[in-house]
Amino acid sequence: MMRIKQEPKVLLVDDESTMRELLSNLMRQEKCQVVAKAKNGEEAVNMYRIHRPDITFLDINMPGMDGVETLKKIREIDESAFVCMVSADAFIEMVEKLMKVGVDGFVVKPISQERIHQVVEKYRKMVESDDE
Amino acid sequence: MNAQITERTGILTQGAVENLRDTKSWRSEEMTFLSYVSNIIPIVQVSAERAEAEEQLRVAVNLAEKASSAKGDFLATMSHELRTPLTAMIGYGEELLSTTLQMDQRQMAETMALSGKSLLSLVNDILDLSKIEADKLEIDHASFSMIEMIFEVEQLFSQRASIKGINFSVIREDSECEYLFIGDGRRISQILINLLGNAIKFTEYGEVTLTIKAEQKSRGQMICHFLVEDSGIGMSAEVVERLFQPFEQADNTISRRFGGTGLGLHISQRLSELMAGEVKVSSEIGKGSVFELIVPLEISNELAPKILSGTSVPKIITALRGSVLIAEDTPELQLLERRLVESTGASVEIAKDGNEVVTKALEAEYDLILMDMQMPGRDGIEATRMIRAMSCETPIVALTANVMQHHRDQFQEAGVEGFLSKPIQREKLHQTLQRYLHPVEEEETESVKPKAIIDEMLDDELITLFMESLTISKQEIELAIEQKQWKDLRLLVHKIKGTGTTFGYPEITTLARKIEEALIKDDSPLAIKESQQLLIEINAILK
Repeated sequence: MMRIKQEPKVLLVDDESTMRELLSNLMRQEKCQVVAKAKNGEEAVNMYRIHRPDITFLDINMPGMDGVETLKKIREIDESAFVCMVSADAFIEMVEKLMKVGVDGFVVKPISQERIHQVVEKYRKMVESDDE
Repeated sequence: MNAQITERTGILTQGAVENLRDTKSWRSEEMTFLSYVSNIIPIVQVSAERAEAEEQLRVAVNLAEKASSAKGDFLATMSHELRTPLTAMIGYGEELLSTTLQMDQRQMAETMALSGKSLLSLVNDILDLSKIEADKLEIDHASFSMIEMIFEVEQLFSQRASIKGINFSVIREDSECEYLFIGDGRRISQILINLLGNAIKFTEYGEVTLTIKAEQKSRGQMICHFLVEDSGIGMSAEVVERLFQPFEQADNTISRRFGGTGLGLHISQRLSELMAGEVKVSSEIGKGSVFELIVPLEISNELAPKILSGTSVPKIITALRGSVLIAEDTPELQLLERRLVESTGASVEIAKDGNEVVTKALEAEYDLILMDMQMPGRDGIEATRMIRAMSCETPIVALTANVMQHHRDQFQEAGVEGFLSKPIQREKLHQTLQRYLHPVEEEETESVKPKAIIDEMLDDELITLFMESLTISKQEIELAIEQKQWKDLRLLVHKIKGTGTTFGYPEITTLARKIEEALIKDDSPLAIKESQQLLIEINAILK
């Protein structure tokens, strides 16, 4: 079966513009294409519905609908959505909660390129094994 | 007519028996019927008794299963509770010995560390015996390298034999050893260590040989023979008969003269039986003994990896940089593990339980996570799973007392890359650290003892044994000279001649040879003069 190599489509969600910028740069390094950006939960859900990205980076601490709520709503649209949460810390209760809802990655600020790379690699491996 | 009645009553009694089983209250019609039927068909009575017996059996089995699992829990708890403080004792003892100490402090620390090791050995024996008695000892069924196992055993004993002046050799009679075998390599190794330890202990001069033979039983099945022969003191037939009883030793002066609990052989025999094998012995007083371990093993058609000669040379510990996250719930072990890692130059962060390690692993970058697998609350496996689920790929190495194959598989599945068995050996820990951390660029040449060829941090036990032996030799030499016992002196210097160069002290070997030659020529004055020189050298080494 011929596998078409595409750049993964990415949705970036963060209320801070500097974070969105930073993640954009990192995505370029990871050979991913940013198809949409959102600055709150509602926008995120809309963008997801429209663009159906391969990977979503989702900030936990946002005004209005927070990251966990947004995650749940995204999963309602697509149960198998590949979502990586972005957070300022990793309290165990939050990690547990996220595991229950279902999450594919978790990176803590300040964001390191290595961690982002690990997340994207995880997505790539998942896609490869799906193809087999 | 008769046949019809029999059939009908047969069906009816079956029904009655069913009711008996479900409820214990009987309806009056059934009572009447049953008492009538019981005269004709006694089966009904028997069924009732059987039903009650079966119920009693169910209750008994339930109790036994509870007791058995309670025993298992007890053993697991005891094992952990006993080994943890011992690990701390031995670990701290070694740490202390790696610092600068005065002579008497060093001797005290060495005694403590050695005592700790003896105690650990005893605890391990007792726990093994308890497990065997409770039917809880599992025999591993995994592939292992026969040559590697033999090689390690050889390494362990060649120095010990050399110190005593005994010739130790290993003979492999078949080329099958090159392949991977399937069985419990660790337990076979344990038995060989017990047999070889005894052989060397009870032999004053001459030789100890380990011979390995593998004969083919059928396709893929071998019968392996391990023979340990010694030219030691030997045993009488009566002693041999009682030999494998627990706590039995040849005579009651043995434990005073040679140490040991008398558990080793008993455990070896039980282990061999659990592996469907046996341990045989034949011996003659004054001539020596032969112990034979026979065990059936599957052989795979995969070749075992070659042993590189470089691996036997102990390395100097290189300085490293990097950061290590250690998950460990026991405070004494936290401190110990921190010291062990920090001594290489790397930095350490401690997490005291499963929750903390997940949080810390996600919040900062580490080069390596050392994960204690047995922590209360969230254990190592769960923590590993969570970390991996969050797509964090920091290498995780398990710290565990559980080294059986199925545990290793579990760890691997959870996302663990390797494991270190507890109690942690410094050498293995350093190997692991060197794998995941980065060496420091500058050349560090800490002045190692210029004469010793063995790194002091790796072979504390051997150095200690050598020093002890040397101290005793010194006293004996002084005594022999004083009492003009030339034959004794000759034996003593002969022993020193053998061990001096091995441990990096060629001067005492040279002197020993000179003394020996002088004694052969009956030149006592020369022998005395050289002996004085030897004593001066020995004193210098012991400082």
